[in-house]
Amino acid sequence: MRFSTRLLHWFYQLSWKKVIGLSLFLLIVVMVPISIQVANNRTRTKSEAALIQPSVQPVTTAFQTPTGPPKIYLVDHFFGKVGDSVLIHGENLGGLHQQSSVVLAGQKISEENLVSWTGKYIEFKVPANARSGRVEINILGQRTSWPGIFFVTDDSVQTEINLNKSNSDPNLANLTGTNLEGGQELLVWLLIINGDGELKLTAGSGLTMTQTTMSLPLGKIYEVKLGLGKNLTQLLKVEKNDIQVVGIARAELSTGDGRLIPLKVNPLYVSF
Amino acid sequence: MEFELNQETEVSEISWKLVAGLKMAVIVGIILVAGLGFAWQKRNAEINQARTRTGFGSLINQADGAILTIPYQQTLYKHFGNAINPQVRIPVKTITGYKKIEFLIDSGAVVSALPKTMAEQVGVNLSELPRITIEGFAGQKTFAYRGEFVAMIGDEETVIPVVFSENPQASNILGRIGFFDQFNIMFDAQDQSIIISRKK
Repeated sequence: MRFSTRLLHWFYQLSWKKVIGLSLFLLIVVMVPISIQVANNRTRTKSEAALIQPSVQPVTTAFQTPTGPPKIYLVDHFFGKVGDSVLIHGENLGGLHQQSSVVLAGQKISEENLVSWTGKYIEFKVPANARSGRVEINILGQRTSWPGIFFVTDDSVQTEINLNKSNSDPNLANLTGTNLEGGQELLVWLLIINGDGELKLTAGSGLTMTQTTMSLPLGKIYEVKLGLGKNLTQLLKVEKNDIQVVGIARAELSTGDGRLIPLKVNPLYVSF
Repeated sequence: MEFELNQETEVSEISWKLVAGLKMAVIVGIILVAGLGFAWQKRNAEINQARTRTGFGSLINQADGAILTIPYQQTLYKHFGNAINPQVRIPVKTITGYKKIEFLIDSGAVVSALPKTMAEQVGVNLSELPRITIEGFAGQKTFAYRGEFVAMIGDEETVIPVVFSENPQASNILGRIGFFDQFNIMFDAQDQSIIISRKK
């Protein structure tokens, strides 16, 4: 009888119980060298960090006990869509606390729209259904507000001012306006974000201009008031030096009866 | 009569061989299934963690095909001497067609970043994008706008999430979201090159 036939016959005579038993025995025999091989292999499974379930990012806060009354230097940017981040720069802002709050146009910013809160700045997201208005803070019972107006923008806001950098001179920009019809006076804060020195400001033709300066910890601010005439596009020529970075920090366009027209800045032209 | 008997013998011989073969197959099958299961488990454990699924096919062919190989770029630093710069030049879809742009591969960056001046080139209106803040090296907050761009990596178009930074000094960075989670990036010290391959 041939070997193969004998082997087949041997298998045929094995009971099913023995077949299962033999399988398990062989499995164990095979697993021993495989396990040794696996154990000796380099593995990438040392860290189980990725097994940790993702959780909602909490409000970043580092409570710094206020040493005086709270101050707001700047609401940056002074405009934004629903969901956009806004930074309130100031001093003695404390940190996230049950007795502290941020209010936009009379509406308290809920914790889910707060991103971070430290002694020097508060970051929040413009909530749904937010309205344009003043930004106020209440730090452990002490209140203050920013003198400017925060504008909640959407597609309906077409009034825009931009700092357009000159193609020939990187230190020169023109403050231009779009759809400023109806406006009589434009108030603009130009902030020197980087560098020292003065700015040279020249009003567009047919416009009247008054300017004052103030120094904030963030930089020097030029407050410019432009009396608008028929020229509603070429508003102001701004000249800086090589190391300075200048941005629009606040803008308000008012009508003859003191009403404010919502406006925005294209992010590409908010600074130069 | 004799013919019928032979037939019966032949049939019974075939049937016992079948049974024997079946028993052999059961033994081999059990070992094979258990062995493959063990190996599969091991491979899943290796890559484990983040929702990676792998089939038996990948056990047989685990070699990832490189779709882009970039030679190392060296910079001679005054303080440190020669060091590799993980910089790649990849074609990015702009309003005037594909344009090669240099990026720094940065696994420390959550998301890819471009300066805001690039937004116009890639056909993006920043006013329509959500504004966020990003933190720089010294913890300085800068505004940025969350969008995406299309890059040609290898021979396939890939949409990569990006933030357009208001910081005029911002570098072009390829970060984790959309890049490190779609591609395998290997720094091959032997070949002095960065090898990018599509994840399996």
